[in-house]
Amino acid sequence: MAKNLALKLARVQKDLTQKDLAEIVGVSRQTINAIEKGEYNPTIKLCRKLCRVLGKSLDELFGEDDENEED
Amino acid sequence: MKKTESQLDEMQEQKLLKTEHTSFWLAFWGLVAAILVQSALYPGDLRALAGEFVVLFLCSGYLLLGCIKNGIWDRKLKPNWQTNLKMSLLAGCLFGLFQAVRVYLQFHLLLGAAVVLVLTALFTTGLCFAAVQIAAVLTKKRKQHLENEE
Repeated sequence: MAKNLALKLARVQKDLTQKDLAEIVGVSRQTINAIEKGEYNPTIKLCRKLCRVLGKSLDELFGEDDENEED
Repeated sequence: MKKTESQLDEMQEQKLLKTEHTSFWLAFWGLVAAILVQSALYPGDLRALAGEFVVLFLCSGYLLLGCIKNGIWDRKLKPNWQTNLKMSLLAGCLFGLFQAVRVYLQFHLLLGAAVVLVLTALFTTGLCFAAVQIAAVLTKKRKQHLENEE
C-alpha cells in the first residue's frame, strides 16, 4: 500500500505530532503512524475525523489517485 | 452493571480480531490432533475424549451456524456438489488412512487394515458429503434471502 504523504503533510502544516493528532481523534499513535505509512486503511469514520481536525477534504487526504488505489 | 468502554482503537481492534482468529484455528486443529492422537493411543476408550468432543462440537456448531446465518461459505471454495465431493473424498481418505494405520499397528493385519481403509473412507466420505451438501443448501438459501432483503 502507498504511503499517505498528504496526511503527513497536512499534520505537519498544522504543527501537530503524530501523538497530538492521535489524541485529538481518539486513537493510538501507532494507528496514525500506520495510516501515514500506508499500512492501515482507516474506516470512513476515522477518515472524516482526521479531515475535520486537519481542515482538509476527504479527497485531499484520501482521494483517489493511482497510488492510493493500490492495495 | 455498566459495560466498560473498549481501550482499543479501530486498528488495534482489527489486530486483536486477527490474533483471536489465528488462536481459534490453532486451538481448533490442536483439538482435532489431540483427539486423533488420544484415540490412537487409547483405542476403545472414547469416554476419555468426551470433553474434547464436546468442545470441538461446540466450536464447530457455532462456526457453522454463524456462517449459515450470514450466508457465508468459504473464502475460496464454492458451495457446489463437485467441490463438496472432492473435499469429502479428501476427508474420507485421510480419516480412512488414519484408521487403517491405527488398526495395522494394533493387530498387524494388512488385509484388515485395507478393509478398514476402504470402509472408513467410504462411510466418512458419504457422511461428510451429506452434511456438507445440507450446509451448502442452507447457506445458499440464506444468502439468497439476505441478497433480496431491503
